[in-house]
Amino acid sequence: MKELILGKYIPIDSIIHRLDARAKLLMMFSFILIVFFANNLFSYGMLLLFAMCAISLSKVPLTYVLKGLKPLWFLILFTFCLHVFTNKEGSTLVNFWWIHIHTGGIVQGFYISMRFLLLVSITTMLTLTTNPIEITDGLESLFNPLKKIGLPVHEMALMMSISLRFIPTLMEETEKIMKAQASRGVDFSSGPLKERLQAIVSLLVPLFIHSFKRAEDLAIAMEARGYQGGEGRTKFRISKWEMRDTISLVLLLLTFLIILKVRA
Amino acid sequence: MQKEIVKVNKVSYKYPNAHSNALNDLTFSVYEEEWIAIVGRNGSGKSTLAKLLNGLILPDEGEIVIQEELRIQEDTVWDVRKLVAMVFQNPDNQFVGTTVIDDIAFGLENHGIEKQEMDIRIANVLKIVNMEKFTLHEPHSLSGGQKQRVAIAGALAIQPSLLILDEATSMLDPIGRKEVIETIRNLHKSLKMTVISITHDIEEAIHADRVVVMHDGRLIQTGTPSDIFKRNNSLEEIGLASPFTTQLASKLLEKGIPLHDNHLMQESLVNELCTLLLKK
Amino acid sequence: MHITFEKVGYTYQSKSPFAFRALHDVDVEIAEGTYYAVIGHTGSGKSTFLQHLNGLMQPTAGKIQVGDFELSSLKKAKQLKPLRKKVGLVFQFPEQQLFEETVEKDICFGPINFGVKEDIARERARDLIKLVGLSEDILTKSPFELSGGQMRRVAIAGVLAMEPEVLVLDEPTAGLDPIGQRSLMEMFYQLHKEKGLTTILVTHSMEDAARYADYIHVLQQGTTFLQGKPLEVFSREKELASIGLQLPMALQFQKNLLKKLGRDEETTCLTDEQLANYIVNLYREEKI
Repeated sequence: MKELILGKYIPIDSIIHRLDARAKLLMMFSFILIVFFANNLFSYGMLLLFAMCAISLSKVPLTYVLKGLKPLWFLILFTFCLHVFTNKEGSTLVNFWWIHIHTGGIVQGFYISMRFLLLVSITTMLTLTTNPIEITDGLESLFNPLKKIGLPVHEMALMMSISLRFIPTLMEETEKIMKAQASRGVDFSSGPLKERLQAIVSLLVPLFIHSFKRAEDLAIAMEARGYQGGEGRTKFRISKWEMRDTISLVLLLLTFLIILKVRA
Repeated sequence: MQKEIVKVNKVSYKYPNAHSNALNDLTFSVYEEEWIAIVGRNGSGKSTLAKLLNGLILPDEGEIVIQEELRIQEDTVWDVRKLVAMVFQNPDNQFVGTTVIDDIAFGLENHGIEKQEMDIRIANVLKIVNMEKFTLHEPHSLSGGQKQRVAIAGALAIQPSLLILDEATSMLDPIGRKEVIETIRNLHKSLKMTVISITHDIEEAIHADRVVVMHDGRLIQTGTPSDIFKRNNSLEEIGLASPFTTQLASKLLEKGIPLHDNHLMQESLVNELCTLLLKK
Repeated sequence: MHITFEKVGYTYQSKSPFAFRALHDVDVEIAEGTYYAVIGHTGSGKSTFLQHLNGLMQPTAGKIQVGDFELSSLKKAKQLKPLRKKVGLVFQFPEQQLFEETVEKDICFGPINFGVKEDIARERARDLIKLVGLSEDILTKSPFELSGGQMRRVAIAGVLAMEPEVLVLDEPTAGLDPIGQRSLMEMFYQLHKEKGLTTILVTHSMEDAARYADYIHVLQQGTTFLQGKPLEVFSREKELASIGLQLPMALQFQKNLLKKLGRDEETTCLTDEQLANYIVNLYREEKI
């Protein structure tokens, strides 16, 4: 259970892994926007090409990327069917009883499903090739300018990294409390609703209370170690923007321009 | 004349909703390069003392002065924390970073140390606590003893004048405890670090230069481990256990064995008994 | 309740490449009313072993018999509640399981889950709160208002309230100060004697094992390293040292003393009191 973090980081030495987290984040956000510009086979084709290149360069086995899609298969299928059965454009393919299927539906269904696939693959790629600390640092760096308008960028980044650090610890604690309560006769998996609710209470109350105690202890320790907020802090992890990062962004930009040209 | 690293002068403190004082008119000093062990039952005031020494709380009465010049008060606490580093009891609840080096770096980042200097200090302290092979390990893959050693490394990295260990071994298993006590002995000897360890572990206290005994918010005894843990001392009355050897010696005396010397270590008691038994 | 383990093993995730063998080939025989100590370092398989005693885990190899209840690798047992009632498990830092609004409610939680009527459960709570050394007025307080040591005692009372036939203790004194440790261990021992409770203690303290146990089982790397009566186990000093375990201090002292005196005798002193008497006898006999 401890390993169950969405699209967990797979440490491989590939060019995609070596890209600066900020470049990858920018590419991901841009890609998400660019996807909405595609509307024909050529434009979707370009996007697919870009995504496939990224995946193969990352040396991450395709199975891991597909695993990230697993929870969404149903949604994709549902959306596809929705379009197939409701879209009335194009020539009629099936006209049977209350089922009307037109070519427009198939095409749109296909394109929209494609969109889902592309969006999820690219976000999964980010988490597969970038270490959570790097993602947090990257986000902090990118959002830094927003400090000027009062956004607590540093604090939010610190909250994220501390939460990440405690996820395995909290999972262990949850397991431990569940075992202790099971030993006192609690059944977490079956039984009438009232009992199951009480079972959850016997798990959540200690968990919450400890988390508060933990937070208090942590705050004291952080203060003792000189933490006064973001002002005056230096950074241990420094990422250097390299030529390859610029090139990647340029490639994405080119892809976008081509899409603008080939779209309907 | 040895420098006075800490001077606690007539300090009293009461927690906001408490019935009585946690600390009462406490006075003592810690000198440079000393290792002081503060012992006492839970509730004796030793944790309160730890918080006061770090400026986490401020005394109601009296004062605490660090390095003969820095008085702990509201506007100096951040300077105090540059000089006084603390390691707490719970190995998980002080581990901030996502990996070992990130955690050690946390303190250095807070104090605005430059990246280059950070790299040097981190490498040094990892060596001192023997955790060089664990740089990128995440906390949940470390044992309690290892996490505490990382905490000690993080404390040493800011190059403090004083290291305080607040029950740092209480939650550890015997191996972890041993590792941490070894680490403290090591850094006390090689770095000549001034150490205050607050503990109820007799085995830890025995290695100190001086022991301070607290009870009910007061200092009731101070002296070398040998003085404090000798037989006939009223430690049991205030709820502290004596070392094995001392307890055994007391029992033997009670039963009429004419022991003369004061013993902390098994070996010396064994020797005296042999002399007694073989003499006849 | 008689407990037996026959060639018990437990492997985590046996079908995946991450398979990890936490326990293997463990044979155990615990007679009713025995005080049984389990010693081993972190990672020796102790906690996996413990969790099999009340069915939190079921063996992937071998067979376990706890009274009439059977846990086997061949068939997964479904109805575990009767077993959980009979075997009370006190985890390390048990105060972490407290959650109810009042101490009384928390102590009653276990028994009520096992079908005990509320008024009887409350009676048990009243008796037990005194047994664990706390005063009755604590019953109406919230567990979270108490000190760490008090919370621990409340958690222990909560397990005792289930009136188990077997009491399993996983390092019950961890984190307490020496006096707190001593009083808790004495309480368990009294309970063991008065009620004839089979008591299984997992501990790091060789001294506690020496003082209280009828039988000692040393685990190492997921399997039995040594087992037997205390003096038998402690006679294997070299082997214990090879896995980083020392003799209890009284025995160590006796050994050193006898060595220095040049006497070749069996070492028999499991506690400080026995040692003190032994030395006094030596002294008196020399006199004659």
